[in-house]
Amino acid sequence: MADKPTNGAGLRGQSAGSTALCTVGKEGSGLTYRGYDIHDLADHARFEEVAYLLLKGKLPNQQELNDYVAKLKSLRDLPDALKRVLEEIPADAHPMDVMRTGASMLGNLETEQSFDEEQDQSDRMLAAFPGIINYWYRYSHDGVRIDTDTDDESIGGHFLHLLHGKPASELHARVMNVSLILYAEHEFNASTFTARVCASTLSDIHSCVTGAIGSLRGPLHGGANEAAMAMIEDWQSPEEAEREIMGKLERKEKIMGFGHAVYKDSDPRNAMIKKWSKELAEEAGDDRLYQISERVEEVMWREKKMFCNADFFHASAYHFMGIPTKLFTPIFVCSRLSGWCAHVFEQRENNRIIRPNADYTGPEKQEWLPIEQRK
Amino acid sequence: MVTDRAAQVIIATDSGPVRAASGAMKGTGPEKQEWLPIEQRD
Repeated sequence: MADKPTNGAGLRGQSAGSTALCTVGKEGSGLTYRGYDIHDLADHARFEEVAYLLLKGKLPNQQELNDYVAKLKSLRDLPDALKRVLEEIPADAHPMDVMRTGASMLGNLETEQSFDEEQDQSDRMLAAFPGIINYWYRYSHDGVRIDTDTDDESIGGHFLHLLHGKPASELHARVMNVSLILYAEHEFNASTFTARVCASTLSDIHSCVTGAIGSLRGPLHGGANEAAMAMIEDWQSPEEAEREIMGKLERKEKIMGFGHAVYKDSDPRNAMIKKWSKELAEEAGDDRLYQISERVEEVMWREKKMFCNADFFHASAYHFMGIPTKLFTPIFVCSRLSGWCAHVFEQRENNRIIRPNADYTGPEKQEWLPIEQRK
Repeated sequence: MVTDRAAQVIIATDSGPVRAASGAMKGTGPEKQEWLPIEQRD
């Protein structure tokens, strides 16, 4: 039997295609969407503007943005058949299963008939996904059938409005906007790769997105901010957090929300969401969770030289906005959908089916045995 | 504390001991683009 190959496990460091959408980890810590630095986008743009950039190739001017926002707002209503399916899903279902089913069901009801529809289909999903997860959540947890057709100007504000049953504050809508921008695109991560592999077979866009959701569901990809929240939420003080972290390190346990597969020095998204988490803590008048998070960050750097990735301070930021932990990863979906669809477009533009080889590690040759002769 | 089924499967992160498949891509887009305020765009 051949030795099991160990180099390049998980395709780390290998180029698996080309893209004009994003660079990750250039010079150790950079992140750009179509050449625009993530700091500029998070500081100045709206998520809808960034989605437009990714999906249509350029930043919109004011009229184009106005038209795009109006279009997205007009697409928020869910078909009755989709609502009925969501009502059948139990309250203890995995919310990512709800997203997967919602995307797939939408594809049954509004099937992409031609690639000419790809922009409209993507816009429809961007507009409808917050409604899908919140319709299920509010129905299954509160027994309420919500109207998903709000008049909120932003997708982030719309999400919080559906979840809480009232319009979001300006601060909360702003933080959701930044969060959606930070999670929108990240080159050849596992879920995006899934979407591109599916697209390369010339499948429909709902199949690409449904498959991507399935990949994001895995705990090695999405879910790190949920895991970070589960880790820190019971700690009462920075001192307790430090004791607990030191114990985890001693026991060689996993600490959630630290380090990254591509970034070597730092994750540029961390400082941005950390700043907003602090502001939310001040607004709430309760900075316990923020102080705990900051202490964990200090200890991890001091002890292991490990930096926070985008997920760690997202946990406290989402918590301060009253978002249940189980909905953290579906928010990731509502954002990354823009990147997935842009990659699907790019794959279709210059397509060849993705079909790599594998290094065979099985037996060289085996003789056929009739079933009655087998042990 | 989250106690439902959703939380029980969340066990690790992207940098965990079992690694997710993750390749890199060759960049073919613009090297760097300057941010333009919306009123200055075409």
